[in-house]
Amino acid sequence: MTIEIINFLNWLVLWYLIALSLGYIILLAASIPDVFFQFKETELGNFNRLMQSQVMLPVTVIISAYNEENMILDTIYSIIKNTYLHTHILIVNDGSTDKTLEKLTAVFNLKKIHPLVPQKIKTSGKIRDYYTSNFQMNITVIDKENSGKSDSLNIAVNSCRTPLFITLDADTIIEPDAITNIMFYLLTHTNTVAVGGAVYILNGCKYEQGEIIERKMALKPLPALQTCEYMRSFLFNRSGWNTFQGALSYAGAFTLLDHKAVNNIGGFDEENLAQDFEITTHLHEYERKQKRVYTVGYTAAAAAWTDVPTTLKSYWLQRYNWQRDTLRSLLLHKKMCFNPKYGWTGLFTYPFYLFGETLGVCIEFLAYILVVISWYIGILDAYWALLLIGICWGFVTLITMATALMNFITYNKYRKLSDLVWFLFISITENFGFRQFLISARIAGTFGYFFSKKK
Amino acid sequence: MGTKYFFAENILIAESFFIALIVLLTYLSKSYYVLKNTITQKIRLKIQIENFLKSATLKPHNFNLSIFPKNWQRLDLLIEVTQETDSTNTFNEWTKIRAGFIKKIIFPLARNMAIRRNWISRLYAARAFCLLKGGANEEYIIKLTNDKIPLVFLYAARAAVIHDSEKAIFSIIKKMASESWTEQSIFLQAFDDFTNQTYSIIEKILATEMSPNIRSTCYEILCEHVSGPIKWDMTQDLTSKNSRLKIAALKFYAKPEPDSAIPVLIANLKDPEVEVRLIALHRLQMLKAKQAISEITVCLDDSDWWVRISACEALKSLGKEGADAIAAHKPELEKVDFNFTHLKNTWW
Repeated sequence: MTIEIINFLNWLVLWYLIALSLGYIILLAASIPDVFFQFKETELGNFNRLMQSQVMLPVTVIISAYNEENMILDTIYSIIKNTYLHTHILIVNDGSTDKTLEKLTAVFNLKKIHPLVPQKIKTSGKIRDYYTSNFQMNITVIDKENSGKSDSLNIAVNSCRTPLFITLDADTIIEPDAITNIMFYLLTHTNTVAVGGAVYILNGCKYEQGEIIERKMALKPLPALQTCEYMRSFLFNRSGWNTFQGALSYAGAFTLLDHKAVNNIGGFDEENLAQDFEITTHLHEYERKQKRVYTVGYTAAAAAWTDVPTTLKSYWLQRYNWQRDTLRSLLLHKKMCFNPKYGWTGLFTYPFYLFGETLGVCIEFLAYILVVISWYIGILDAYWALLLIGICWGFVTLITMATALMNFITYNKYRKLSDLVWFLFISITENFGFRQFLISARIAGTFGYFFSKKK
Repeated sequence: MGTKYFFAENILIAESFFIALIVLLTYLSKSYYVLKNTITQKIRLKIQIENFLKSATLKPHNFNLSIFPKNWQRLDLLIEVTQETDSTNTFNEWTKIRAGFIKKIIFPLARNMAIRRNWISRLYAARAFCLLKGGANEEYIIKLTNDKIPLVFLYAARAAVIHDSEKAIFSIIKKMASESWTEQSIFLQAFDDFTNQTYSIIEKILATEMSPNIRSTCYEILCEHVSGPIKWDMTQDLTSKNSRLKIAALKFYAKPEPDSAIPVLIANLKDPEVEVRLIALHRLQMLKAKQAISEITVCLDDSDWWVRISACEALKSLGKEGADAIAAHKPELEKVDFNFTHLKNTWW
C-alpha cells in the first residue's frame, strides 16, 4: 500500500512538473516577442524631446528609507540626474537609527516645513517633521517614527501631489532614462494603472554620485546567484505576463503607479511585507470589479539597479518574508482563482502564481522527500531519479540561458564576455545547494503563513 | 519500465530541442529587429535623403518629386529629416520646397499609415500631420484623435489644432469631455499651438453645445489661451448645478473679466462643494482681491483642511493686510508654507 502511495505521489509530482514547465514555456514564448518589440519601440528615437516637453505629466518618486545612510544619497542623485524633467522626490525616513536624516539634512540643506496633509489613506506612523531642501526645490523629506515600509509608503502617497508616482527602494539606483522609458510605456498603452521596471543587481558594479560607471556581475556567489534569479524574473517572466494582461507582481524597487488607482484601493497593505505583490494583485482585482479597461504592464527598457542581501541569513529572511506575504496576498484575493470574470488574470495568471510560483515550492520539497522515502523503502530507481532531476534542473538552466541570451541581444546590461561566462556557470551550478537553500526559506515562509495568526 | 525511461529520456531530448529552438528564435529575432535596423543603415539613408533635398533646393523650380526613390519612403526618417532641417535651417531654399515635399511625399505615406493596425505606424502618421497645415488629412486626423494609445491621440490632437479643423477640434473636445483627468491634462498641452481661428471654433462650440462636460472642457482649454472679451452669456455656467462646469467656468471667468469676477468668486466661497470654494480662493489669490479679505478669513474655519490652507495662502499673498488677518485669527497658520503648487498638472 505504502509503495503504491509513493508511486502515485511520484507520478503526481511528475505531471505537476510537466504542467508547470509547459506554463513556463508559454511564458517564455510570449516574452521573446514582447522584449524585442519593446526594445524596438525604445529605439524609435526622437522621443526625448517629447518627454522633456511640458506635455508630460509630473511624477513623484517615493523612497521609504530605513537605515540607508550608505546608499540614500546615490539613490537621490540618480533621480536628480534623470532625463525626465517633471520629477518630484519624496523621501520618508522611517525612524532610521543611523545617520540617514543627518546626511540628507547636511547635503540638501533641509529646512523644516509645517504642512497639512490629507488623510486619504489611513496611516499609523507618527510623523515627526516635514523638510524641504533650500536649493533643490523638488525634494521633500518626511521624518517619522518607525512603522514599516507599507505605512511609510502610504504616508508618502497622502503627501504626493502628482497624478503618478514611482516607488523606489532607498538602495536602488535608476538609469538616466529610466523614468522617461517608464513614462513612454504609460503613454503607449491604454489606461495604465501600474508599470513595473526591470531591476538588476548593483552589487559588483562601480558607481559614483548615483551614476553607474561600470556594470559588472558580482564576483561573490550569493549576489551572482541572485543575478540569475532577477534576470529570469524580470526579462522573461514579467515580459511574458504582458501578453496575459500583466503580472501579479512588480518590483517594489521600481514601479510606477497611478495615484488615483492606489487611493481607490486604500493604499498599501500595512500588514504585508510583500507590498509590491499585494498592491498589483489588489489593483487587478479592483479594476476588474469596476469593469474598466486597464493596463498593468512591465517594461524592460526602464532599468534600476538594486543592492541585494550579501549574507545567507539576510537572504533567507528576505525570501521567508516574501513567500509568507505573497501567499497571504494571494489567499486574500482568492476569489480571482479560476474566475472568468477576471479574464486572463483569473483564469491563468492567478492560478499559475498560486499553484506554480508560490505553492510549487511545496511540490518541489515533496519531490526531495519522495526521493529519500523511495530510497529508504527500496523502490528508488537511481536512473529514473537522475533522469527526473536532470529534466528539472535542465529546464531551469534552459530558461536562464534563454533569458541571458535575450539580454545580451537586446538591452545588453552586462557587456563583458567574462560576465557571460560567469553567468552561465552560475546558472548551471545554482541547482546544487543554492536552490535547496532557497526552497528551505520558502517552505519556512509557507509554514510561517499557515501558523501565524495574521491572515 | 521501458516506457517510463523512454518518456523521461524524450523529455530531456525535448528540452535540448527547446534550447536549440530558443537560441535559433533569439538569433532570428535579433536579425529581424536589430540587424535590419542598424544605426549605420539608418544614417546612410538619412544622408541620402538630405543630399536629395539639398540638390532639390538648388533648383527649386525644376524640382521633381516623382523621382524620389520608393525605398527612401520611410516615414520615421522623413519626419526626422524635416524636423532637423526646420530647426537648423541648413538649406536656404528649404522653405520653397518644404510644403511640396510634405504634401507630395510625407502626407500620402502618413495617410496610408494612419489606418494601420500597428500603433507605431499610426504614431508616425499623427506626427507627420503636425508638420504642415493643409492637405486632405482631416478625416485621418479625426480617426487618430480617437485612437486608444495616448501618445497617438496626443499628436493627433496637436495636428488637429495646427490644422484648425473644426470637425477635428470638436472631436478632441468631445473625447476630452469623456476622458479621465490624466488624459485631459495631456490633451490640454496639445493646444499649445492655439490660434485665433481655434478660439473662434471653441467660441462657436460654446454658443451651440449644451453638454456640461463639453462646455467645461472648452473653458479648461480657454483658461490657458484667453484672447479677448467674452462674447457669450456665462451666467448659466457660473451658476450651474454641474460642479465640473461651474469650476471650469469660474476658473476661466477670472481671467478675461477680473473686475466682474471678484463678486462672483466671493459669493462662491460659501458654495457647498469643496472644489468650488478652492477655485474661488485660488482665483481671488491670483487677482490679489484685497476687498475679499474678510470673506477669505471666514474660510480659515472651513471644515475642509485644504480650503483652510488655501485661504491661508491666499491671505498671505495679499500682503500685510492678509498677514494681519491670519495673525488676528489663527497665528499658528502662519507657519504653513508647504506648497507643491509649483508643480503643473496637479490634480486639484
